[in-house]
Amino acid sequence: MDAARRKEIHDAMVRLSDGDRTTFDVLVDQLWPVIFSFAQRGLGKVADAEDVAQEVFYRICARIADFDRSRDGLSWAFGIASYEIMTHRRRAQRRREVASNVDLTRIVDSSASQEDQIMAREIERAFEQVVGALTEEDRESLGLGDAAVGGATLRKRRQRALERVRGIWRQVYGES
Amino acid sequence: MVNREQLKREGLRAYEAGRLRQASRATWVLAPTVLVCALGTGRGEACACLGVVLLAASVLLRWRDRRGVDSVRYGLLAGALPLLIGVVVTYVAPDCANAPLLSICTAACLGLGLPSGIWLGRRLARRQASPSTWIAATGIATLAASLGCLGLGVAGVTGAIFGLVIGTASIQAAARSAS
Repeated sequence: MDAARRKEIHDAMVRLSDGDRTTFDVLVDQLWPVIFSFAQRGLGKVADAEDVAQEVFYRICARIADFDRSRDGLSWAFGIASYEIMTHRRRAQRRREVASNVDLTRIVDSSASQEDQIMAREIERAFEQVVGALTEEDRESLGLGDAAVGGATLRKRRQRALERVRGIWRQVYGES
Repeated sequence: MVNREQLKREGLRAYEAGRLRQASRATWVLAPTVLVCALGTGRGEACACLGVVLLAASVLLRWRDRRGVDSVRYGLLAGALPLLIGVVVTYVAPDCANAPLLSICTAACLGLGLPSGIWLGRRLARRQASPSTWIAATGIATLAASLGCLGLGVAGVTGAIFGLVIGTASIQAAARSAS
């Protein structure tokens, strides 16, 4: 950018900070393209760059009353633009992270329909109920804990435990 | 693609909102001042009324342009001395509240306003301020001085206002004759 254009932008900013509203056109015509191309370089996508550049432009307009005339106007504008671009990037990154987490959940759940999921939950609850009704020894025999015995004793205990499970299951859900 | 007219319209709206926000910062100075006036003079309603007028004038001037910002700054600085001393005198000489217009109280307040007016005039003359800035700054200074002198009654307020106006006008006249 040439020095004349830079000075023109700075002068427009100074006049606007003084309250001269007639110089607003200069700001739109001279500063907007610079901010837009800066945002485009920082973000890559044109649509994102337009959104961010607009946000930056409005922010500059809103804060121009506090503009320190001893500073260079364009550098001040770039400072605001850099901050906005960084914020946009961070937000986009966060959105991508959330989206990838949501996708993973969908992949896990995609194998089962909603009806299947409800049924699986029902069976899980029933299983917990039955296991809860068993003694500690029965749970160990069925492999739900560390069994203290082995061999033939364990087989017999497992058989008895399975019979008890069937009995409890019938009590809870009938003969089926 | 961004529409240029929409960009300009929205940008101007943001600009005006920003200016208004900046202008409203005068409240941080004026609200405690009005509180001091209300507590010091015991005339809460009058102080609130004058305070609202002063705040509205300050915000409007500051919102308009930088000359308005300067007017409010110098006006408030010039009015600060009569304001503070006015509150103190209200305690020291409570009889001034019922004093007639031509009294020692009026003279004392005139004497308070005069140096402030001269200081304000010198400041504005040095900056080669426009007539509108002179009027605005003197107006703000008289409103601020009136806040402090409310407890001194009509005599106090009139004295402070005359002192300020005479002080500022004399410097302006001198500056004009010099140029």
